[in-house]
Formats: sequence, structure tokens, C-alpha cells
Amino acid sequence: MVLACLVLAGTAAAQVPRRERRFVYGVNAFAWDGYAGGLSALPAHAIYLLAGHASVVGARETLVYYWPITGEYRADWDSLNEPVAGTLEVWQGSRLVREFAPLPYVIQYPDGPDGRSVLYVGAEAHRRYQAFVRGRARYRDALWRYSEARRRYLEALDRAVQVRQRGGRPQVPQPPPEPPPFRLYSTEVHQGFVLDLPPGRYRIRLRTPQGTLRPESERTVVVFTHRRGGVAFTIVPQRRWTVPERADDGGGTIYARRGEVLYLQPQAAREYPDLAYARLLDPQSREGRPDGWRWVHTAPITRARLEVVGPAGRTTVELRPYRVVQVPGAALGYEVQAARRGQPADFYGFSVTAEGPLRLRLLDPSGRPYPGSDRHVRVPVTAPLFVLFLIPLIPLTLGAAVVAWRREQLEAWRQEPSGRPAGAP
Amino acid sequence: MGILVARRVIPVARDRWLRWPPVAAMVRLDLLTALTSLTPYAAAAAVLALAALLLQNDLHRIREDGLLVRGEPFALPLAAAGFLLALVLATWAALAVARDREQGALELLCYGPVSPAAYLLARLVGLVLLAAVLLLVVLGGFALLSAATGLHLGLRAVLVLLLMTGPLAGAAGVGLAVAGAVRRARPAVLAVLGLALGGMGLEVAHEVLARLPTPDFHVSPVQVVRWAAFLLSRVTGWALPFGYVDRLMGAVLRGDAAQALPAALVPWLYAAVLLALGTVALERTGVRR
Repeated sequence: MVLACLVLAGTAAAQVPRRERRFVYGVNAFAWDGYAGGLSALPAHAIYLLAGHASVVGARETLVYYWPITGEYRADWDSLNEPVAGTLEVWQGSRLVREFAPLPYVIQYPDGPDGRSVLYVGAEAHRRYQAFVRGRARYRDALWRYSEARRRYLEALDRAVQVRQRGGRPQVPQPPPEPPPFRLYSTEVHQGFVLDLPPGRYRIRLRTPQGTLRPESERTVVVFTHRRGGVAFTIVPQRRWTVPERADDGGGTIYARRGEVLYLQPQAAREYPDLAYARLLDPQSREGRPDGWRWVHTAPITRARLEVVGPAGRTTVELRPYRVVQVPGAALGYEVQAARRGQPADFYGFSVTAEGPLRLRLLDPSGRPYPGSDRHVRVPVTAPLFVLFLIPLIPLTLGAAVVAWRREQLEAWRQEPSGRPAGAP
Repeated sequence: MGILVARRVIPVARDRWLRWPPVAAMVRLDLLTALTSLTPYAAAAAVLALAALLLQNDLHRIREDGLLVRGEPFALPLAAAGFLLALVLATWAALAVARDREQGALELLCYGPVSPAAYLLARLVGLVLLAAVLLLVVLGGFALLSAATGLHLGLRAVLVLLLMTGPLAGAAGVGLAVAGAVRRARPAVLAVLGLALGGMGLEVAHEVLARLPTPDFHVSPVQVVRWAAFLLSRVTGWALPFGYVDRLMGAVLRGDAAQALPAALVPWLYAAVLLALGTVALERTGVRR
């Protein structure tokens, strides 16, 4: 028993990660689905940033530990989060490109923590944060007043029930209106270096107020941009809402079952280097291929029409709201239905029915096509599958025929008294 | 200087190493022998069967999910075709040279107006022509598969297939170089198969190791093995013909003309280098059985 306790205690102690006090850079990199928070804990962790957009790099001291389950370094910010004073030097080769002083910044999420994010820098950061604090306080007060009013309403409702039970005619109270939801979310105001650099490979390091270089502060910063842009579509089949497909590349063809109703949601998209974008989202990421590219959706396109050219001629489809409803019964699936007036929409899209080969093109409000928005819809042939496996037999049959012919020729040659093939001069 | 080379050196080199009439005769004979045997047709059939299997998977997904988005449905069949045909041509080349040496045909030829360089060049040209014929057969098969499935065979895929003669010439060059260095047929074939499967295995190992988590505080064995696999796969990506197929496909299917041109031309240079290496190896090991 004692031995088991000792073994278990030893195992438990071995699972506590060793924490080291280290200089790190906390990164808030601009990404299209919101500022991506990351940690550059070691000099080997290069920082990747998007060109043309402001990102924030903060110099901190914290406790760093290696988390073997995810294979990454993490920071114990709760135990230690000490800003490190100094200016950030940005070098390209042997040339000092720029020096950055720390600035106050705040990141706010107008539609809640899962929505889009906005960076505010300098005095604006303080103003925005104060506005957030005031708005939150107002909402808290409104919520308190609402709960009071609701308590009074429930009491009045109880009294009305009692009056009704006694045979009287009670006056039914009106429920109090709920305060509008407060969705704005904000970080606190922090100090950081706001970087917006042209594409290239840089080195950064921190110079302390005493004029010395901070040890372990050197990092590689890779600033990259997209190689092409276009229109991407997220495509939802009517009966398979849970398995949408992405048609990002203009060269891609959409294959659909005959009669399948497809809902296409257009998005502006840009193509970025795969590895760089993976490390933009997480400087310690092991995903992404150095020779690969990925399409990133940047913003939904809401003011557009879809031109459809097919066997029935040329038509234009409008962007409409749709709802996803659960199929009743044993089917246990989802189905997309048009949202009626007043019903909340789950998504907006163009509805297209795959009845034959179609050519799609997105048009802006003035009727001009969006570049990179052409797509083809094809309906595969529904021939029996064994037909496919007959095709490889063709070269095999041809080969057998050629070999047989050759053998016949050789036989004829052997039987010729002159030793020459029949018909030869 | 240029005129001197044209007037003096080229005729001497042509008479000494590359007499065209015997080379042309050997090319004709090689091609005829290859086209009247069952192996190339069986290789084409295997490529088409694999393609049919891969396309059938796509069709199954369309039937089940109702939807599939593909840049080029024939991309995977193309890669499979590249790998299989390269393997067949490299093995064929190694076996042909090793057999000629074992049976004494090579020695006999070299007593006549044929040098080792001319012999290997004839073999290479014959195999390139065979590759071109095979690719045309595969292209025809792909067109039939496209018609039977409704999955689009794009112009870029056709271009990849036509340009694949370069990497296949490289594969034949590997077979010739190996056969030049290894005297016997069985070790030569095993060496070619070992190179091909080893190269593929290394790629798989590299992909798997790249996804394994490792701590960076201290050097771990996984890091060392990962680096070794990375460096080796970099080397084999240029030393073996399969990397050339990969680069060609990537550039052409992406429509990247700046990379497609070198990706189409470099395999020919690679084949020429291997031909030279094969000649040196054959001259060193000798043409006698």
C-alpha cells in the first residue's frame, strides 16, 4: 500500500511541468478571423505577421513551461506577467530599419469574444476601454433594474392569480422589457509594440532603457502577404448542412448529384503561404507546408448576384436568407429551408439546383463580374461502376493481341525455308 | 572557337562514341521489342485500374454527400501514373542492360561500331519513346475514364501527362546508371526497387516525423531523426525521379508558368547526367559478362 502510494506520488510529481522564468514575446497578430494571440517563448520561435495590417508584440517576463500533451510552450501569466521596458529594434540584414517605442493598446470584440476584433492604439485605446467600462456598468445597472422590475412583475402576477382564484377580475401586469444585450468585449489596456512592416524577413531585439540589449530578446520576424485574391464559395448541400465544401480556387470544379440543391455563400478570399499563415495563428504551430498555399476567407460578400448559365439559359439568382431545421422523425438530419419574413436566418446564400453542367459567376451591384468568381458545376455520369474497371482491360487486350501477332510472325519466320519471314524480300 | 568545335570535335565525337546508324537501329529494335511484349500494356492497365479505383472513390463521395469540390480530379491518378511508370521504366532499363551484359550481347556490340555511351543512349532514347507511347495510352484511358465518370480531365492534366516524359526519362536514366554500376540482373533490379521504395518510405517517414511533438528545451532523439529524414528526403527529392514528377505536377496544375518551365526541363538535364554517370560506370565495370 505504502509502495503504491509512493509510486503514485512519484508519477503525479513527474507530471507537474517544470516552469522557467523567461523573457518572451506575447504576440497579437492580425488575422482575418480576429487577432491571434500567440507566444514566442524561445529565440527559435519566429514571429509571423501580415503585411499591411497592424499587429502587436509585447515584451514580457513570465514563467514558461513545456506542455507535452500538445507539444508546445505555454506561459503561466497568472503567476508572473511583468512588462519589460525598452525599445524594439527592427533590423533587416545589417540595416536598422526602425525603432518602436511601446504604446498602449486594446483589442475589442464588438460582437462578443467569438466575433471580429478591432485594435485601438494610443489615446484611442484608453478612450475605447473607458467607453467599454462605462457601457458594461450601464448594462449591469440596467440588468439590476430589470431583475427588480421582473421580481415586482412576478409578485404582481402572483397577486393577480390570487384575485382570480377568489373570483375577482384581476389586472394582468405587463412584463418589463429586457435590456438589449451587451455584446462588446474588451481586453485591458496593455503596452506593446505596434508593428506594420512591408513584406520581408527581419530581426527584432529589445534595447533596455540602460542602452544594453536584453538577453534572449532576438527573434526572426517574417512579414508576408498574399499572392492572389479572388472569390471563394462555401457550399452547403440541402440535406447535408453539416458537411459543407469550400470552393476556394477559381480552377476548382463543383461536382454535385443530379437534382441536388446547393447553397453558395460567397466570401472575399486571399491565398497565403500555408506555413506562414499557420505560424501567424500560432508561432509554435507544427502545421503548414513550406511549399503549400492556403485560401483564407477575409469577408463575406453581401451585395452581389449570381449569374447562372446552364442548359435552361442565363438566369440571375439573388442572395437570400436561409434557416437550418432539424428533420423530424428517424432521419435525424438537417435540412436547409428558406427563412420566412420575421424568422432569423442562419446564413445567406445563393440557391442553385444541379440539373446539368452550369457556369457560375458573381456579379457586383452594377452587373460587373467579380474577378476570380467563375465556377463550373458538373453532374457526374451515373453509369454502373464496373464500366470503369473495363477500361483498364483495353490496353491489356491490345497487348495480348500484339503479343499473339508477334508470335505468329515468329512462327512463320521459323517455318520459312529461307529463314526470312513470309512476304520479306 | 565555335567553328573549330563544329568542324573538328563534333565529327570525332560522333565517329568515336555516337555513330548514329547503329544507335538508330538499336532504338528501333528496343522499341519494337518493348511494344511487342506484354509488360508495357500491363503497366498501362495497372495505371488505369488504379485511376479507376481513385475516381470511383470520388464518385462514391458525390453519391453519398451530394457534393464534391475538386481542382483536378485526375491529380491523384496522375501522381500514381508517374510513380508506377517511373518504377516500370527504371526496372526495365536496369534489367535490359544487365541481361545484355549477362548474355554477352553487350560485349558483342562493343566489338562492333558501338561504344558504351552509344549503347546507353540508344537504350535511353528507346525507353523515352516507349514512355511517350505509354503516356499516350494512359491519356486515352484517362479520356475514357473522364467520359465514363463525367469527372473533368482538364487541359493542365493533359499537359502534365505529356510533359511527364521528362521525369520518365530520368527514371530510365536511374535504371541505366544502376545497371552500369551493378553487373548482375537481379541485384540491379533489386537496387532500383530499393531506391524507389526507399525514397517513398523516406517521404512517408518525413511526413510522420514532422507531426510528432518534441520539446525544444533539450535535443530529443525525435528531433535528430526528423532532421535526418528531412535532409535525406531533400536529397532524394533531387536524386530520384519521383520528386521531379511531384514538382512538375504541382507547377503545371497550379498554372505557375514560371515554375512549370524549369520543372519540365530539369528532368531532361537529370536524365543526361544519369546517362553520363551510367556510361562512366559501364566503362569501369566493363562490358564483358
